[in-house]
Amino acid sequence: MPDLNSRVEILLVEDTATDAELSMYALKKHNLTNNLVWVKDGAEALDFLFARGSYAERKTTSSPKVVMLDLRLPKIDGLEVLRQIKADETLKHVPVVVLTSSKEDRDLAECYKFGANSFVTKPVEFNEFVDAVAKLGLYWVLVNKPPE
Amino acid sequence: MNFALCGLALLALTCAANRWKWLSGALALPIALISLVAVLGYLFGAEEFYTLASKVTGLAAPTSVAFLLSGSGIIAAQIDCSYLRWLASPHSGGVMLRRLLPLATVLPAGLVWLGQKGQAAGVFSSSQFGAAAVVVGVIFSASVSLLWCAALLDRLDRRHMAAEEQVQQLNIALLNRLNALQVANKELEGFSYAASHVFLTPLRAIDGFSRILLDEYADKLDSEGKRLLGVVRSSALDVHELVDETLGFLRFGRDDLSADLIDMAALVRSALKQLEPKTGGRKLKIEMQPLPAAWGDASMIEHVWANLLDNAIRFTAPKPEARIEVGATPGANETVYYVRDNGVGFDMQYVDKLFGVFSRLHGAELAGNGMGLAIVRRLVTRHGGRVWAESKLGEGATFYFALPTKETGDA
Repeated sequence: MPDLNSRVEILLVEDTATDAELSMYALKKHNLTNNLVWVKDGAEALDFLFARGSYAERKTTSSPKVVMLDLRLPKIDGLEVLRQIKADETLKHVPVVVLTSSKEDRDLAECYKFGANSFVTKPVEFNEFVDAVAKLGLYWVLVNKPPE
Repeated sequence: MNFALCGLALLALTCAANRWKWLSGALALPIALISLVAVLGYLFGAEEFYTLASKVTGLAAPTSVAFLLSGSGIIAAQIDCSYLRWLASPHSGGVMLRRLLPLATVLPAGLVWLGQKGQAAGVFSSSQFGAAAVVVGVIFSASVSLLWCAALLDRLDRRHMAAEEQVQQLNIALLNRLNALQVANKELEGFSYAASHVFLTPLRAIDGFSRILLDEYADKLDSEGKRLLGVVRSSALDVHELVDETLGFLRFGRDDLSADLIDMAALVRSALKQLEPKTGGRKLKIEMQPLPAAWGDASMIEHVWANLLDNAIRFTAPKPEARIEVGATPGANETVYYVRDNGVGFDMQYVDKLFGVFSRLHGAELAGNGMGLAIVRRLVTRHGGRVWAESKLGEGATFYFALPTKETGDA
């Protein structure tokens, strides 16, 4: 885990270890994992973002450049995490990319309603998956300019 | 005057137009009433009655009877559009009227006539006795008739209530079944929602980690090791396709149908375009006959075409020159669309298995995963249509689907 007080670029919210590992494998090819934090459920994601609980020591002056958010998460689900991020004055500018297995139109509609910046269905085929995650990482971390 | 009325009434009766029939009834009523007055006058020897009637109309006794009968006849002839239509009604109102009308008409007239005759014949002498006997007779017969009608109404009412109770019970049973169905549907929905996550995540891992193994440990794997890993990957992707199709099948079963006017020819062209990568440069001769428009959910019907055309393309793969024909036969209630190919065909004795879930009549390389035709059947059935197929082994097959020309699906 990187130093929590240096700027975290990617917050990966993913409960499935294999998916997380594959995502990090894809991002690592482009050197995007140095400032990545992986949390395994919605509650931990909110703790990190709001700097509370086990992340109480974290300074909240800098937010991640992007949150990669799975929808089906233990404790607090992805949609609720998204809602809380977008309801918070300081966090609502943080780009949230929903990265999910779901192909349901309902999920897509809900996510955009709550202010998701992007919605990506995880491909099952490895090359497509690595390609999609790498593109997301490159775009949101390197191309996109977040508010300071 | 009665002659004139009677003539007009008969004229109105012969008029073909229904709107004039009421007029004949309206004209026949005064005929019948005037004649009734005259007939009663003659019957009881009441001079004022028949002189009144004859002053107005100049009726003699036999003539008035004839007019009474013809007036009633005219009313009866067009009873459906007259004020007396309840007389012919098969329902309880009609039954009551038929029972009580003689009581109100024939009975008092008959009793009074009997009384007069009795007095004239000297059976009794005082007219008071005659009047009292008539009253007793009327009271007795009226009471019996009323009791009779009350019993009838009571019976009908009980039957009605019993039927209503039965309907209510059936309704409750129906509602219970509907609830059970809704619960099952909800469960299925929950299942298909969770399934994509639960099934696809491990598949992604199997494919991904096999691939990483192939990439990162290439120097440690000999060609057989690589081949084995390739089998693992392609099997995982097969399962992925199956899961996808199954979830699609479930989704098509529950998604709401839209009702669009569908340009079928455009849909077929779009489906063919999607399938282009699968033809792999093969020589395909596709013939398109005129296709009538259809009502339905355009995206679902496109799926039907895509599945049938995909089948035709796959089944013709072993043939040197593949011919596929798309066409339609319009009908009064439904339009039958078809996809015909000159491919490998199938044995008609297995035709029942064709549209089942996961059922295949050929090996996987030809027949796919066995979901395509099940989806076709589900989509077409949801539109209120039907599917079937004909084939001769080795010579090709024709797949038909019929869609109702009017909207009758479950949407």
